[in-house]
Amino acid sequence: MASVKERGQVLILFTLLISTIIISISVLHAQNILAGMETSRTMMMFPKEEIRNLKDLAGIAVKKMPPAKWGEYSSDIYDQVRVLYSQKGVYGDLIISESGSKVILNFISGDVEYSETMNCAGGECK
Amino acid sequence: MRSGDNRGVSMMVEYLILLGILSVFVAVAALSLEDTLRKSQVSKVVDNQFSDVASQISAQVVDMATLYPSNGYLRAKVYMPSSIGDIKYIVGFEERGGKRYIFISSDRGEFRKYLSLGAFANLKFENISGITHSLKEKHELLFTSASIIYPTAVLKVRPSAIISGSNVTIDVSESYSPVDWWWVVKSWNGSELASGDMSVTKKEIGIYWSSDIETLCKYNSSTESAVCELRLEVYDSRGFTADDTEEILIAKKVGVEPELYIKKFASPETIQVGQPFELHIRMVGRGFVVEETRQNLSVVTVVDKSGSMHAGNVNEAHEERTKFGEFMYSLNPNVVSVNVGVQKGKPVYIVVYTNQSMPFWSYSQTENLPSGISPDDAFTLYVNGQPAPKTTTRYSWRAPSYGGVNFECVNGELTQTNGICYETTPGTTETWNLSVVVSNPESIQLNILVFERESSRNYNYRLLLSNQTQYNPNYAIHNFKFDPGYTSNDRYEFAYVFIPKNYGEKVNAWIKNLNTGRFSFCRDYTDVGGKVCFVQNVPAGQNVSVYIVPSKIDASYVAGSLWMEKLDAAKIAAIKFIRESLNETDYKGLVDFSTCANTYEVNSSSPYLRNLTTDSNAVVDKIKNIVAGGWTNYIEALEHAKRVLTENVTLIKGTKPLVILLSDGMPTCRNVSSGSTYCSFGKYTCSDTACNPDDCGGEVIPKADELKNTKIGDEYIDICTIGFGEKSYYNETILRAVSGRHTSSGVVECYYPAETLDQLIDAFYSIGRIYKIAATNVSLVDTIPVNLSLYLYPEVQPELTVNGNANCSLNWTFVNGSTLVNVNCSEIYIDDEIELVLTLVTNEFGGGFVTVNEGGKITFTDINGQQRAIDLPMLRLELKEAKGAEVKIS
Repeated sequence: MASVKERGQVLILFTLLISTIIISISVLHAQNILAGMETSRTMMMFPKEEIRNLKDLAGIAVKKMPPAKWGEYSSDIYDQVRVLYSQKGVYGDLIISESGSKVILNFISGDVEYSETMNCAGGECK
Repeated sequence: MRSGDNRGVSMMVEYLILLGILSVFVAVAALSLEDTLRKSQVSKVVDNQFSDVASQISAQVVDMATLYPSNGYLRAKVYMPSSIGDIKYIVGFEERGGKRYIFISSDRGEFRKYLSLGAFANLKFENISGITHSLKEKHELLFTSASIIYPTAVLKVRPSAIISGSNVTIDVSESYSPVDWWWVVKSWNGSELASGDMSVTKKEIGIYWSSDIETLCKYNSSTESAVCELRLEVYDSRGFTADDTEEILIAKKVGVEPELYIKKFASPETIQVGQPFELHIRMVGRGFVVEETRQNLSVVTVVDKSGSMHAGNVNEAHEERTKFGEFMYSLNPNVVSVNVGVQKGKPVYIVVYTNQSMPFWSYSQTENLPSGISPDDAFTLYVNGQPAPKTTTRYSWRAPSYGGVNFECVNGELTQTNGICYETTPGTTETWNLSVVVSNPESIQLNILVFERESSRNYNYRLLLSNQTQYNPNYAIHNFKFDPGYTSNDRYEFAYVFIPKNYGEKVNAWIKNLNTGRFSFCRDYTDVGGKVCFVQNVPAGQNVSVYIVPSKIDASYVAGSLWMEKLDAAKIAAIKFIRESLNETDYKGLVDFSTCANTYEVNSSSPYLRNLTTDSNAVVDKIKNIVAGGWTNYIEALEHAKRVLTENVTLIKGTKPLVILLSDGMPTCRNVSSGSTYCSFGKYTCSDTACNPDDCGGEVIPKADELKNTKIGDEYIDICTIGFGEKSYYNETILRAVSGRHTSSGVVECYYPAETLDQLIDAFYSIGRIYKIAATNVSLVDTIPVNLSLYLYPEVQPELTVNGNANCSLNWTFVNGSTLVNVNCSEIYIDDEIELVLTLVTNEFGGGFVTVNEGGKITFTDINGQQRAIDLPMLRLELKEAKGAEVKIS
């Protein structure tokens, strides 16, 4: 009877040990499954295209700038771009200054903030 | 003990021993299993997670490189678990062996991972750095890049040709840097000539001949002259530098022919893709303004001496005068201030006075005081900051007395002494502040007395306050004087000082009459809207003082202008022209005109040429004595000028004939009622005193054309006109049409408007410079190639600046993607500066150099009639990528 009892106790002890190890490994395993999530999220969330579009808009806006009243035109473009980007849930603006030789771009989303002053002399933004 | 008990103890011990052995075994097994099962798994998980975080950062860096704002920033959040398992870690950028990595390391260092960023990181980013810990609340990547604005150096030296020992002006004002900058100009041998910081951009220095000029400069032994290069170096606080060079002609003597100096430069010389830059092409007429440089002139100065050139009194001077100066002073009136306690309902009688005489307000000692004015008008009292009205009247039997003086008051002014009085009844019991300003340019003893009465019916006064102080006024004195040598007996007709009403109502002013030694009061005139100080027959060379004394507490500033008679101004300008712009070998003549014209005989030594002389003094003496009066007979003036120039064409053959006509009014004509007093050739009549502009044009312009078509030797007569005074007074259209200067490109206008004395002197000076030609038929052709674009916007256009008398035009055309720029100048005169500024932008990308305009050329005819061509230098501009692009993790 005694030996049976002893074996049972050892069994219980080993069971406890193994289960502890399995639990901790399973936690690690769960983390391992998550690996790659941040990368893919970043790839998906980074507003590359929105910013590119804003740059393209700057080029188009400068090319289409009228020979006179560019201040008024600049103000209109600024308002339109703000409205356009607000519909995407982000902030974007485009300020044409120095008679079109400079364009200031601003973009703010939850994760990314961007600002650039572009040289647009000769009607081409660089 | 029973055997059963013994067995039980034995089993117990056995059990404990066995359990102990088992426990040790389990512990050893557990440790081994932890190591084999858990840690190996943890390392894999950490490796995977580190890869994830590194990949995320790498992906963002790639995105940033893709967007790459060349002049701006991009900030992106980085997400990472605060721990992996229970391992905390740090993330950062590291450079190893020339390669850039993202590294992640557990904070104890047992796990470490590197992820290469590839070659693009080295190419795209100047710097990549930073570190962050996983436990930080937020993590971000920051990309920054800035377009660097490089400094620009532009050196201009004026004049461009000098005799050794003369001064030149070093002008670096067009140099630029967005930060603090300094400059130094070095001579041909590297020694420092001038230096300064950004606040001092012009300096005058002397240039001297030195022995090294012959070796270091382009030396011409036949003319003993050399073209030397001065170098400007600009340094800014960022450590960037820029430089520019400018040529200067240094000669030991004046026998150097005028020529054209050409300079081409870009500003800035280092640019970035898309950044506009300026291309400057500068042409300067380089030479000496001396007789050797030009043909002699025969100049007839025709001066309008009609009645409007003269003003015999102040009312006429309001209309006919010429400004010759301005002044402005800040004022700080001396204010005496006292406080006094007053009681509600008890009338307060305030007296401000002096027992001293005030000669500036005395009719016997000061001129031009208006009737009704008295020394009492010098005093102004303020009660609690408000000016006390001068309405109080208190006759002597009810007025208070103090110190033997009865303070009788009529309309706010004391009758027994100099001062003012004011009575009012306080509405409340309080402390009043009394302030006094006395507008008197001399120090006086000032008394302030405050009396109180019990009631309005009670005339027993109780003295509340007695204050005595020495009042020293703060006032401005403006001194000016007329130059001697320009008018008859060195006397000027009048001096007229005008102080506009906004200043004049807060001051009193006096002007010193040098003839009487007394001061003259400056009166207010509503028709001119201000205060006028006026003295006549003013001797030249002596200071005329104007005292401006504040009369109001808030007089803080005064500005005004100085005026003289129009004829006096015309005399100064004409004499300066003859003395300073004409050479000793030039012939000079003088015609003046009003109702009739008058030719002056200036050459008594020659029976063959009486009306022209090379003796400047002979003409100057005549000009000094011109007296104004009469109408404005243009046609006769022109006829007289023609007669002067055609008196003896043989003697003046080879000279360039020139008529300078100065007039301040519209041409008049023979009025039917004026009868025979009006001198005129031809049918020059009309029914009014001033002719209709078209009628006048119909008469005057053909007469002017007759002159312009008259040849003296091989030279046609030129006419330059000056419209003097307010434009509405004279007929600018006629003066423009009358003028005409014969150039290689035809007859061009030679008209100058002048309102002030300085403008009139400049007009004469400009006419003088016209005949100092450095080059003619100048044509500049430059082609902007396809790799550059002409930057065209409403506000930014190709710009041609002409500083001087050159007559130039600019045009540009687009041909097969290139732009052809063309500047034509019929003449360029000595010291003229013509600058063409084109704003260009490069279409090329990347580093390297951009070639700016090959094949540009300037052709011109030099003063010897030789056709010359100069190739414009080709410039190479350094094209740089945006610098300072960097990524930082934090």
